[in-house]
Amino acid sequence: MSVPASASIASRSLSGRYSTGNTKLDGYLDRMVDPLFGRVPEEQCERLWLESADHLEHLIERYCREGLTLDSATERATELYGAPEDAANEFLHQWVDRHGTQGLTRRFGRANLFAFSWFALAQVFYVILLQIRIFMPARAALHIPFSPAEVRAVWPEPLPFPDFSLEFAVTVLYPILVPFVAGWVCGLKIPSRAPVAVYHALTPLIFYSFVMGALLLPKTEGLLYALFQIAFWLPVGCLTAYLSSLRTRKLRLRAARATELSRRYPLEEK
Amino acid sequence: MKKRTQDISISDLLRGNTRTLLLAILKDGPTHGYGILYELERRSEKMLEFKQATLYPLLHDMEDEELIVSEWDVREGERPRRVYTITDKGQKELEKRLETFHEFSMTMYRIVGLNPNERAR
Repeated sequence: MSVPASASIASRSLSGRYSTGNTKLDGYLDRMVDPLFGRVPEEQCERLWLESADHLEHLIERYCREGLTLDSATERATELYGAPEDAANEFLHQWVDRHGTQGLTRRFGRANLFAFSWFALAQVFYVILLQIRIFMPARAALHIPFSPAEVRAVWPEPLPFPDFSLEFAVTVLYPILVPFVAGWVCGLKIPSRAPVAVYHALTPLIFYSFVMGALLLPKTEGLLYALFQIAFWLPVGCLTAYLSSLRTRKLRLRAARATELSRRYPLEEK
Repeated sequence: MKKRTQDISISDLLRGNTRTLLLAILKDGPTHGYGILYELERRSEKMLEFKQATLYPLLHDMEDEELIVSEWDVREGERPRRVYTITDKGQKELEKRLETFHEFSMTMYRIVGLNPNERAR
């Protein structure tokens, strides 16, 4: 099988990364590989970069032989290869699918299981709190400097606090904090499509809350909790996971560039 | 209501057979990614359009399944190049796939009432 010779000899750019000597091509390859840092191992990023560079250089050389200028040939070759973001996504999805291991992880996805375990744990804990609140007698009210009773003395209208016990504070504060904490942890551990994983995790949990809420009727706390999950947990959890994963990827990319790639391809002094 | 027609292209038919084609090309000798597509294009007389960027994830996938192996071909003054070689398992997989493909295509010909050498009008 005959294959055309490589178009150009590899060098190393001052940025510390591989370079083809073709700025346009380098830009294309970097745009393709950059989103993968922090999501797949660095050697996979490097491998994709090198293989794609070799592939594209052959195409460019071919188009140059057909009479195109280097710029036009590069443009045509990268067009044929596809948008760099699409190429990165294609690679990422296949890589994630391949490394989905076995059993439950393969069936549901590692990210979904991780998100589910965090939110389910939070859910179980809150259900216990709700049960305590509904079925057990409340303890004595907390005394703080600005208790509702004292505030009511200043404000003539009564504040909407039927009681102010520790249980009450916990049952109000806990569900507010959960989507922030669990979403953030999910984003830290799931660098790719974290909001989707959170969405997948919360859907069965919300369904469970509705069922549980219906069973608790005429007490309405359960159903209110289910509605609260839809209106607050879902959007806040997804958004927090997204922001957290974005930050994690940026940090990993920065770290990867600063250490591994610089170590392997040290800067050349002119 | 307007009825939608579904145009079927060669690319649609290619789906599911890509691995067979890649294994068939690698059976003739080790080569790198561009070489595989170059050969695919040459043998199909430019009839098959392969989405170029999907090649490497697919090759990596096949490598994980031990159908092919790859190694860096490092030469002085050139960028390292990943060269792919078919394994014994890959050879067996190719034979199995070709047999299935043959059965499928003969069945198709029988159903539509065409001779394999005859072109549909």
